Amino acid sequence: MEKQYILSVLVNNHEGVLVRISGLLSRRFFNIISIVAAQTEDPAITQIIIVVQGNEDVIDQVKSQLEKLIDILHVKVLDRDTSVVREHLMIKVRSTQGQIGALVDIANMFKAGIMDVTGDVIILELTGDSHTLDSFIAILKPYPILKMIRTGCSAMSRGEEEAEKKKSPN
Amino acid sequence: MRLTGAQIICECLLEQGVDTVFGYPGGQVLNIYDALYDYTEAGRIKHVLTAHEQGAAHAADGYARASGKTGVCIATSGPGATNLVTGIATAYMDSVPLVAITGNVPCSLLGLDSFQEVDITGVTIPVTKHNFLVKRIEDLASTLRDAFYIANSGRKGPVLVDIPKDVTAAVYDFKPVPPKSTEITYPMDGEELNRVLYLLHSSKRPFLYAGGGVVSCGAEGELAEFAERLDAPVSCTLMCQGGFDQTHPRYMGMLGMHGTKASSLAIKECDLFVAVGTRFSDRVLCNAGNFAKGKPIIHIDIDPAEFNKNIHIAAKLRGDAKKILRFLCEKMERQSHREWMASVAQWKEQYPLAQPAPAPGAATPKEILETLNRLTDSNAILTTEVGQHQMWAAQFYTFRRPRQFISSGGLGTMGYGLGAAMGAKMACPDRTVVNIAGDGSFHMNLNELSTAAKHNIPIIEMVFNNQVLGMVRQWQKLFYAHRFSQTTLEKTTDYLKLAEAFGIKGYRIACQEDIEPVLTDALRQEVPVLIECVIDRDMNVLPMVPAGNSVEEPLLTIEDDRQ
Repeated sequence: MEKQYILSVLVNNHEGVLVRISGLLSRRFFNIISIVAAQTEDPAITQIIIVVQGNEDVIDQVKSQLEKLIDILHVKVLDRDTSVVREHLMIKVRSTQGQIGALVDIANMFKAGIMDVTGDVIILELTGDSHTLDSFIAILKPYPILKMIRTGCSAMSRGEEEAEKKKSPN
Repeated sequence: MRLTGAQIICECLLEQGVDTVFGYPGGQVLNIYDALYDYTEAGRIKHVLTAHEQGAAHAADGYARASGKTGVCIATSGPGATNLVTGIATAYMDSVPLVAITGNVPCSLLGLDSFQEVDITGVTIPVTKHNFLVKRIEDLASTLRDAFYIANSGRKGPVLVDIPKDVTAAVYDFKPVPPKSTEITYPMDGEELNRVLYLLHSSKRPFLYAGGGVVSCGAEGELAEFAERLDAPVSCTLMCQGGFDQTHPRYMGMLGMHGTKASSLAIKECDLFVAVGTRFSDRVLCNAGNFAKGKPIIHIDIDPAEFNKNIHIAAKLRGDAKKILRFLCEKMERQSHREWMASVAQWKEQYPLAQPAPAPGAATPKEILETLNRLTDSNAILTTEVGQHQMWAAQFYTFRRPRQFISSGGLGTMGYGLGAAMGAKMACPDRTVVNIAGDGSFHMNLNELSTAAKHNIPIIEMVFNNQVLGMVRQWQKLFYAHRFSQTTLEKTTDYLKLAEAFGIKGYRIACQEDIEPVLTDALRQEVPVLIECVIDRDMNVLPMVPAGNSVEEPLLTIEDDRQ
């Protein structure tokens, strides 16, 4: 059965790491839904959050195989229930004079920011969980939406971080 | 000292204890070869110039498997590098420590579709343990050191280092550094250990199964001792032939698609399956769903990604087979399973490996290999190509020591053996080295006979010429209603003339009575030798477990139906 998983992968900030990870995932027929590669408190180390869709019988193997790769320090499969999961959205809509007020109301309702107004084209920004972003986009559909950029999840487990950086060499 | 990148490469090789490399020059490695010239002229590094880069990769691989050291191959950019890929993939699948050094166009030309440019690091990502592109001279020495460390630590494997030409010309400070130890101590999981000991102590009919990992870490002594303490029969994978003395009464033969009937009965009747240094290849499992069904499996391996990968296991111990087996010998009480061992002995006697002659006086692979075994006192190093002859070599030669059987198990690369044999002979010049080939495989990389001749590498190339692509044909017999599509080779090659053309000695075994005199004479030679063995085309590899069947039910015969 196919399910969605959030992989939190800690890696050495070396060229080509992303290629190795995405190559391995596609070889195991895991579809990559989103990738966020983020700087951490240590500039030599990058945290990559990957949302994948794949066979639940294979996810443990994928985790082990990822951990075998030389530049990968640690792989965690995050549980949405015990993690904070956020996405960032920028959305460009067209609005006429009469609609501006309604747009501002929507923005306020969602605590979205208005980033730019150029002529009748407005860019809004929102950070939140996936459902909130889904609702926001749905409400804005009629405007119409000229362009949308949705980053994909960044995620962090709640509470203490398990000792992550040491891993047995392969 | 201030050295060029090319000199740093040579110094790093020496630092790592490398004294033999296999390779082929070209434009982007001109600097490397220029630096190497001083080392080869001074006799500090031996370089074997092969006919094709693939031969160099296979030779480096064979060298590594025979010696336990790291194999090194060098190729130029573009097509030189891509010609290494099959050899690198072969080493990857069998966890062989290899360092492949490729040149590339200067950094300023990278990514511009330059002459002989290829993204070899991109190409080899899935078939290397790791790879590097060295863009700065400052990183060259440390990268090479890392490459050797990665190739030799944990689960071994090939590493590629791609070096643009300008980096080989640049100059930098070099200071020799003793290589970092590749010894790793893995923490022992107390809970798993207790589970393992419990299973070992409560078993009445244990089955001990050893794979390539035992050879890789030199654990043959510990395996033998553990087998005695556990009082279990032993089966070895293709990659572990010689990891257990095959003359020992405990030895049952291979398990799997072409395993022995005795071992398939043993797995059927055992109550515990202990696997050491093996990855449960599909060639062994045959049908994962009913492999050792209902029996607990203990898995000892250095690579945790192998646990529960192909089959569900009951207990696991992660680490070096040598250390773990030694530890278990200390912790485990001596067991005794006399009845079980008696049953196994009886099965061995009841189901010996047989190969009837197709016609009176015909030479059979079995008789050829058994004669070779006798004449070499079970002490030759055998390399193989891939196919029926490969299986016969594993079945009919008696391997007593590790690193005696060198064969492409995981990738199954036809054309591997000749290069590998040269590498093995370079590693072990005092041993007899024989490559067992089929006529199909032979024709793939026969160009390397010129290398054997030129460098006077006295290997014996035995071509089991049955005029067909035997293994594929056997499957076509069983599953494709004898529709022999493209498997009838019937090459018009005159092997004796071919040997002469390459400047090596040629022989022919045409029938049974040729076997002993030809082999005796060939084994005496101190030059490379080619022996064509005329074999009937309808010989089969048996037993055989057809795809999807249970490993417990091998076929012992195949109806030939020569209509």
